[in-house]
Amino acid sequence: MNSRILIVDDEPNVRLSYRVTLETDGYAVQEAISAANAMECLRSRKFELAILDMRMPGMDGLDLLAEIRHRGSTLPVIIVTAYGDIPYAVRAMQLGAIDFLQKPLTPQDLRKVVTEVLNRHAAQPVIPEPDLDRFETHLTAAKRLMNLQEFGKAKEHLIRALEINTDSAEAFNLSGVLFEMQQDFDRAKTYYGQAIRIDRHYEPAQQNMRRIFELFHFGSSDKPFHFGST
Amino acid sequence: MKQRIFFGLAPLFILLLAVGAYAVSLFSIFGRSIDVILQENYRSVLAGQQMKETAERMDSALSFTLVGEEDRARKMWDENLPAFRKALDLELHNITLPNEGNLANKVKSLHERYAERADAFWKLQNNTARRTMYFNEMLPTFTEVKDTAQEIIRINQDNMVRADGEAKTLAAHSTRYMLCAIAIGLGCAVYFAWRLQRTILSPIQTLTTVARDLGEGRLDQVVPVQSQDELGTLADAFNKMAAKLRAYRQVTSDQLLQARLMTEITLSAFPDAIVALSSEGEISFTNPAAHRLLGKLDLPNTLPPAVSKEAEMVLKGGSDYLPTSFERALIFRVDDQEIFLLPRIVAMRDESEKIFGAAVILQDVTRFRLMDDVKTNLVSTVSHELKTPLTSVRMGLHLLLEERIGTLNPKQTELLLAAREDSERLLRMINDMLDLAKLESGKSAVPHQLVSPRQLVENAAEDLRTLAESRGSKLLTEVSSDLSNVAVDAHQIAHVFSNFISNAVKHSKPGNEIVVKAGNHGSAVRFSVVDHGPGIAAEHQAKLFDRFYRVPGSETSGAGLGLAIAKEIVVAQGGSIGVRSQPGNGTEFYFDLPVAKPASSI
Repeated sequence: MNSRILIVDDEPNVRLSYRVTLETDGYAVQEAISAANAMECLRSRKFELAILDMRMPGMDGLDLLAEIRHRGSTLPVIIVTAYGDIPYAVRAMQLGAIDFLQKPLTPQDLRKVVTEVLNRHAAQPVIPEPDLDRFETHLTAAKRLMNLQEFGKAKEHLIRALEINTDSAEAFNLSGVLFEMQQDFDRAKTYYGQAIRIDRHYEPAQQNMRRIFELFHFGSSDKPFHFGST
Repeated sequence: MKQRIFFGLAPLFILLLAVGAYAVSLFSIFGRSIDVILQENYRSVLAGQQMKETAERMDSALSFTLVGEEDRARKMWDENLPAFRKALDLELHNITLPNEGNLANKVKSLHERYAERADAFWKLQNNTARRTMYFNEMLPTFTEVKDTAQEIIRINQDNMVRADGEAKTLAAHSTRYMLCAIAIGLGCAVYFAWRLQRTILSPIQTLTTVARDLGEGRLDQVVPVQSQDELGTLADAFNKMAAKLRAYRQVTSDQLLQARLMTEITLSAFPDAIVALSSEGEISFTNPAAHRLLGKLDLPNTLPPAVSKEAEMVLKGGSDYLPTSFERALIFRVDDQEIFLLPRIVAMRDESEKIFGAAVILQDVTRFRLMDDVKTNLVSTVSHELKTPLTSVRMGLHLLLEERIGTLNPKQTELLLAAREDSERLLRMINDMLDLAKLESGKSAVPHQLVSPRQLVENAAEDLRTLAESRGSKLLTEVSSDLSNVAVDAHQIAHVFSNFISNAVKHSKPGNEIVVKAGNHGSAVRFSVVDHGPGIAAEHQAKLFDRFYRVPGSETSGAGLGLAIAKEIVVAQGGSIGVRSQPGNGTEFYFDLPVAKPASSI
């Protein structure tokens, strides 16, 4: 594989644990101690993935992501949040960030998300004909298109995915996120609600529902956007 | 009083008696004198008349003789002589007037001579001699007797006339005396009435005046005690009453003064601004804090418009304005600093519930707002600052235990497993604290869904069955069939159940049953989790829901926040939470949720 991953975190110990985790899986890892340092790294090398800490002194994770997008990069990112962070949810999504990790995480959590995102963006594999119109294929395509900020195409795949499988909490949850981004909060709530009805333990939908409610009642929410990748 | 009235009226009685006695004596004098005069003089007049008449008859008898009727004359003479003598005798015994005696004696002597000479006359046989004697001696004597008798009649008649005149004069005098006496009596009556009024009415009037003064609050009035009678007693009693009133007012006014001072000192020392409004909405009092505040706000004698508006509503009889949420605080800018004032307005009502003003308290909640911000910041700071190091600790431990970077000997593995376990525990504790802080700040309010109690119980059992069975416990459910739905955040309630059931599992021996129940409890639905564990001593039961409380000697691994969180959740959903346990007989943790009203919806 040897995918190159950039870790951006101001805490050296956290960077170390990420690095060890990922290096044992064979990834090439580079650390950046700040947003500015990260920009330098990104300029000098090509990366397949960046893991951004939400909270950093100076420029934070979202600002850094905005800067990356501003430079025209579609680099996939994973954002690491801490409980209580106030993510600028719609902004994060508009920047193509739909994969979040919450501190404190385990090596397994990290590996799982990293693998999923890298697979999603790996050079388009030749999908065998019978698998082309499968639920998983459409869902992965939708997520990839959302990362690439191509929300229209992402929506088509999601609709198709839901036609094939009307019993996926993850697909309903992602549709809800798309509606919320278009500020269609009523539809968003309906889709989150459907996801919860299918699986009442599906945490991403729970959190999204809660956040959208808090958004309406308190004007802001500290629940991160949840896309179901953790 | 009786004596006073008696002595006041006694002179009038005496006067009346005196005038009456005088009148009676006058009447008796009149009556007696007239009677006597009439009787005595009338008797003399009668006797005189009798004498005159009989004398004339005797004279006639003599003159009859002259005309030859000697027998008839003698008979007539003998008839009248005793009558004359009888009348004369009567007169002689009824001498009442001066000179009457002389006249009577003169009649007597004349008559005796007349009778002597008559005998001589009768003896004469010669008619001529008789005639001569008659005209020379008898007739003049007879005339003299008759005149003298006439004189007696006249003086008696005169006396009668005179007595009548005297009586009239006396009557006239008496009338004058009586009038004088009545006038004097009237004068005396007026005088005594005036004195009575002075002695009886004036003390009563004084008393009345003083009583009126007393009623108007001038308690330092004293009624002079002038006598020892009933009025004096009354005045004395009145003075004592006034003295007691004075003492009472002194005590009351001292207390009032103290209460006022206390109020003033308290209000002056009160850090929040307090403003009293009259019923017209004008400021009637400000404590020093209010004075400073209104000065700073550049509103020297008025309240901020938003407050005035609410105060107006309260003064108009609306309910008191008592917001509790800081969100109702008003923001003002003073010296380039924002201050948050939470107004509270309470109507002041008198005993008849009439509003006579309003008290406005402007609580400075700036610090609370700042603390609220600090708390929110603290939550995220703590979460970040604690979780970041925990992340590397946890990841390091997990990585080592994976043994992908090197093998471990059993001792190393054991130590690392212990460290990983504690890092997980540390994470749970941090999450619990954050949950609690979040619940307290009220930001976890979520839309309440209508859920059937059966659904809640079954979900809980389903979620925790694996855990229970892994520890050898049996998880049973017991739900009444007639339960109404509850409007709750099912996710949070699942959290409460999870806490209850995992506690029950921890304290149950393998093979024990754990029962999750739902049933009616009054107007609420009671959910409970019953175990057959060792139970909880009574002294710990009350504290179980306190934060960081852990039953001494228990082996639980939490921070002692689980039940505190459960309580916050249940209370936030309008319910109540509790525990029933007897050491040795197991434990029942329960929470009651209100039945959803039909109108409420998702």
